[in-house]
Amino acid sequence: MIVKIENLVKRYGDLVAIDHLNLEIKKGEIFGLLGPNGSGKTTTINCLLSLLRYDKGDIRIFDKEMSPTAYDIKRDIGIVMQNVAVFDELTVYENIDYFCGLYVTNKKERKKLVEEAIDFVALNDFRKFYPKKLSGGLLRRLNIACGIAHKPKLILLDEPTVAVDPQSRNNILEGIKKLNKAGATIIYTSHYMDEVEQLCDRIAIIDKGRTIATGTKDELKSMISQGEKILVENILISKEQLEQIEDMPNVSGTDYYDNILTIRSKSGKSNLESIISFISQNNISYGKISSELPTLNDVFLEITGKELRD
Amino acid sequence: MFLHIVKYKIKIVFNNKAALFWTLFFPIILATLFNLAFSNLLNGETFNSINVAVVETDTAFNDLTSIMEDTEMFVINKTTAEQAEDMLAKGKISGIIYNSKDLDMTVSNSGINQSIIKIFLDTYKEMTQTITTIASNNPQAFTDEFNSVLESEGLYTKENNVSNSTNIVVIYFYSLLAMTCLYSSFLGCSDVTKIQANQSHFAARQNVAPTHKLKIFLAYVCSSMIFQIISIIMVLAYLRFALGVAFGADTGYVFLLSFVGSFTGIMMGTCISALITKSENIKHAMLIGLTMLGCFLSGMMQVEIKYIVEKQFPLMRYLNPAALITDGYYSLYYYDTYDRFFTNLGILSLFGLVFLLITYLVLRRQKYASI
Repeated sequence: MIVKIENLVKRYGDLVAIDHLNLEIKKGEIFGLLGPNGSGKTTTINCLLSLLRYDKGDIRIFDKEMSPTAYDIKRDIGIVMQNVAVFDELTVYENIDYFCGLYVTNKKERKKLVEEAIDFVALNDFRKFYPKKLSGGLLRRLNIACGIAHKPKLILLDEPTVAVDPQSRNNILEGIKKLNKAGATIIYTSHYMDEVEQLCDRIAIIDKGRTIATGTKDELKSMISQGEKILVENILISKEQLEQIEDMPNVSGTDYYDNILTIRSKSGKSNLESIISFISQNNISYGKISSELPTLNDVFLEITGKELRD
Repeated sequence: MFLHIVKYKIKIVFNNKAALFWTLFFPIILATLFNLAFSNLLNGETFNSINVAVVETDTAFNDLTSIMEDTEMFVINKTTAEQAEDMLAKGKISGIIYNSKDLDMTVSNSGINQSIIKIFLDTYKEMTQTITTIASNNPQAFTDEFNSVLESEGLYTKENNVSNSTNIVVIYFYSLLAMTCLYSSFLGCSDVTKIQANQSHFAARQNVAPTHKLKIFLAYVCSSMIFQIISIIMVLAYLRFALGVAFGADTGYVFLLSFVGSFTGIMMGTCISALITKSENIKHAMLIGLTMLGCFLSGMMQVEIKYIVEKQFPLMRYLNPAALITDGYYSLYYYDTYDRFFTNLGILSLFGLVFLLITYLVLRRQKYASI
């Protein structure tokens, strides 16, 4: 295990921010921490990095106990914080060199690493720019470069795509995949479920400081009773026909409102083919038919009873 | 790694327009304004001997001129009454003394020189009258011991060796320098904000690096000191060479005081920043308030305030870093001895060390309850 968190408890007065949280992160994986704002993702990261004092629990990184003075562990960790933390008075190159210099003392080696980091985030054309001259997306890329220039074995990215345009967001996500392919273990926190789904090998869903589910995205989706969701728009259907659909073997429920029919399937089952044949056999007119597999939001909704984006 | 941090921190400070303004340009602008306001007063008030004419009308009082010469206060022109009146009319002399039994004097206008002549003559008359009375009533009292008492002059205040200059306007410039030294507290404040993980995202990030927090702190303080010393040397040079402000003869001690003042200023900033986990703007506002209050009490806005504070609240002078710096410069300028200067310097250093100790005790904490 690269990271092992056992029974972590962190309280802010009466508020329990982290409630007996357990996590195990394997070498070489991209591990997602998914949860709504205020669920305890950043607090978990800060405890993991020994920035925050916690009330109970054990944290081990690289099989060693993590502490503020565990410099041998810290040397192999890269952190990309939620908020951009760079010097406005230094250029892009100087900022990356400054942070890299906190990890790598050899000047020649550091120069090579800084150049590689600049290439990696595609900031070559901006190396002499001051942060104030950079767009939000470029600034995020600089933030990432500062965190990963020293080639860490474990990289923590805390919501690195907040307030980033779609193009920069894709660049960042692609970059994270590249870092992972190069051998780094990644811990990625986000409240954007599509990002986490797209990127992460394993995901822990966190709510109110507790891990409510952990697994691959398929494992998580299979945990819930809901399966495929079929949406038929502009459909005119009778009450009897609706009851016939509800009686189909793998249908768990239906909604019919405003000429839109929603059919929910049982977990792991598909009804699309049988629905299409039912509609054509009964000569029912419709506008558009589409099928959606359950999302992590559905997982979160079913387990907690609320939307992930709450 | 230490030098790596120092190198970049110096770049950061020199690229920081706010730091450059408050520690370099603002004192220079303010000094220029002071100079425009006080330019006529900048030349020190040196004492020039007073030209007087002595008209001899009675030789019995010949010892007057020899006593006047002994005081080195007067340039005596022995002449006739007509010539003396002519000289007085032309303004060549400040007054005429008629060396007769009544010791009359004539002046054409009132002023310091005329007052000095009057006071001298009155004192002389009193002393002569006293001796004459004793001589006629009790001549046996004239022993050697009694004569020595008559010749001596007792001062009932503490005597200090002072240099020739007595210009109090320099206090405005010295308190301005004190302000410059203490404005370095902004640098110290910013240094701690960038190191304490519970004060900024930037600091949290630095705390994750495998570098000891105190090493970063020391590197930051060194960089701030280098920047501050360069700034204060430039301000000192501007005051000395462009505006002609006098600093006494010992330049080395002037630099020493500036160095210690800047150190104390930076440490005051680190201490307040370490103790108060509010926004940097609030901390800056507090530092400006403290510095300006200190400078006000040390005479930057009204020089008399310095003396009122020293008279009414003598301890306050030792508790106000701005007053210690201002008085330190003034001691170098005014006194020929260094006792007062070293007292100021010692207390100022103590302040700096206490601030450093408090900062260290707060900074050495490794984990935070909240970020």
